[in-house]
Amino acid sequence: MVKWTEEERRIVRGVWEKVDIDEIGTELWARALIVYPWIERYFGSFGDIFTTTAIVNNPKLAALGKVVLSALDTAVKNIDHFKAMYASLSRQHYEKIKVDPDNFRLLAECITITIACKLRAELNPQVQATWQKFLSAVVEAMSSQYK
Amino acid sequence: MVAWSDQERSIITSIFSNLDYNDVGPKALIRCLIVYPWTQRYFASFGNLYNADAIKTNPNIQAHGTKVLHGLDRAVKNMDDIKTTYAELSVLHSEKLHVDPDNFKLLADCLTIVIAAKMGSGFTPEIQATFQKFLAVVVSALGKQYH
Repeated sequence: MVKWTEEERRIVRGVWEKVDIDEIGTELWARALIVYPWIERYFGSFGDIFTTTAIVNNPKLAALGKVVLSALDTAVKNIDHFKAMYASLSRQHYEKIKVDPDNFRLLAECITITIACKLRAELNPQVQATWQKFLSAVVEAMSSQYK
Repeated sequence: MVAWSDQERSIITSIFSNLDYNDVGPKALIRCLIVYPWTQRYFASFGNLYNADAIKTNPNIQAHGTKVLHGLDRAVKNMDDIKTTYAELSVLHSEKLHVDPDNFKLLADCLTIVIAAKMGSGFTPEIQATFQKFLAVVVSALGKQYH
């Protein structure tokens, strides 16, 4: 099980407090779909997702962005036991949506870059290290039901 | 061979022409040493790296970070043949320095975060995609002479 110091908990909450869910929810998809275009394969029914403008104005992606960030919010608020809480999410992505789990890591990278653009110097090396430790735990939880 | 559009060339030269190599180089290297602490093993002769503050103020790290950015500058100025430009550097890192080539990607990721934090909202998804493409070519060229 992942162990968190008081300092690390404080850092993760501190970063998360500065995240505007509406703003970041679409930006993270814009980055993921533009930088890693093969991810488009999971969004066949989402309409136009092929330019940044189309992506940030796409209501289905906006809604999905909120879903993803609200799941992250659950992880931030339950940092000691979110792995169990993520089991059904993981199973859904494995059995129903059939997402290659490597994409969780790519989406996590896009989230970190989105936050770096927003927080700038505040995302100093120690904060980045802690935030990435948290996202690695999230990626691991999302991959936990894959076999 | 890697193909570059005019727009991609312009994005890369623009990013690098706005960088202070003495600032960004050390920042990226310092970040790498803090976020991925095992990379400190390559700098055993550099003196005190015992904590984040020591790393941040170490003059050898400062000098080396600047050196790395000047090395990247050579790639920017020879975008059509980064592989040949880096052949000697690749041999050096493989045969003399014995650097695990996985670490090139880690440093590249840290540089991306430094640039994202610097450019803020100016680090758009398209610019991110081009910058990451450039760094992927650099990382591949650095690993080319390993056997």
